[in-house]
Amino acid sequence: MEIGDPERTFTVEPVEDPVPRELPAEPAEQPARPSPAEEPIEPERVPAP
Amino acid sequence: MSAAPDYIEPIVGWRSWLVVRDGDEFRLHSIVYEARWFPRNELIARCLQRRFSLPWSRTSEHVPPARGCHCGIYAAREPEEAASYLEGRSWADSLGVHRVIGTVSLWGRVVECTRGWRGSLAYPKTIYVPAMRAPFRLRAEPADEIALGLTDYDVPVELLDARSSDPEDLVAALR
Repeated sequence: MEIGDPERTFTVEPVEDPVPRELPAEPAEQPARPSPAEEPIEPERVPAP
Repeated sequence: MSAAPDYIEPIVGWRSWLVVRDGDEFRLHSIVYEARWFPRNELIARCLQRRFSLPWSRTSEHVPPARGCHCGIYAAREPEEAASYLEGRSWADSLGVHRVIGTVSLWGRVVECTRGWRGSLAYPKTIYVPAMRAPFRLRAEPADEIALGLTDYDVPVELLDARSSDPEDLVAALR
C-alpha cells in the first residue's frame, strides 16, 4: 500500500487491549463444601470409668 | 525500566484484506505478503525485506517497523488508498475467496508516514464485506456467509451494499 514517506516514529501502548481475547474457561462448578458451622459434630468419646 | 509510551490509544487506519477459506472457516490474509490474521490474536510485524531483496540492497537487521525500511503492518489514512487494493491481482488470489476493507488498530512501534502508518502490532477494528465481488473472481462464496464467518474476529462486520464492485463505489458506500 502506498502510504508516502516516513515523518516520525513513536510508541503506542493502549490502555485497553485492542484484541478481544478469548476469556479463560470458567472452572466447573463444584458442590459447595459445608461451612464448619454446618458440619456434623461427632459426639466426643469419653473413656469408660 | 521501559520508557513511557507516546500515546495510549491505538492508531486507527484503513486497509484491505484477502479472505481465505480455512476448512469451514474464513480468515483474513494480507493481500501483498504471506501473513494470515488470526481471530483474537494480534498480528506481529516481521521484516520480510531481507528475504525478498537482493543481497546488495538489503537493510541491516532491525526491529520492525524501521523508518529506513518498508516493513511493518500498513494502514492508510484514507479509505480510498486501501480500496485500491480491492481490485488488481495478487500472488495470493488462488487462496482467496473475496476481498474486504475495514479499519485496523495499530500499536507498539509506529512509523507515521504522509498518507498512513506502519505498525508493529495490529488487529482489525471493523470489517466491511462488499456484497458484490469483482467480476474476475471465479471462486464464488456468498458475501453474507463470508460476513458471518468473519464474526470470529469479534469485531463489527457489515455487508457493504455498493452500486458495483468498483473501489470508488465501495468507498462511497462507506461514507
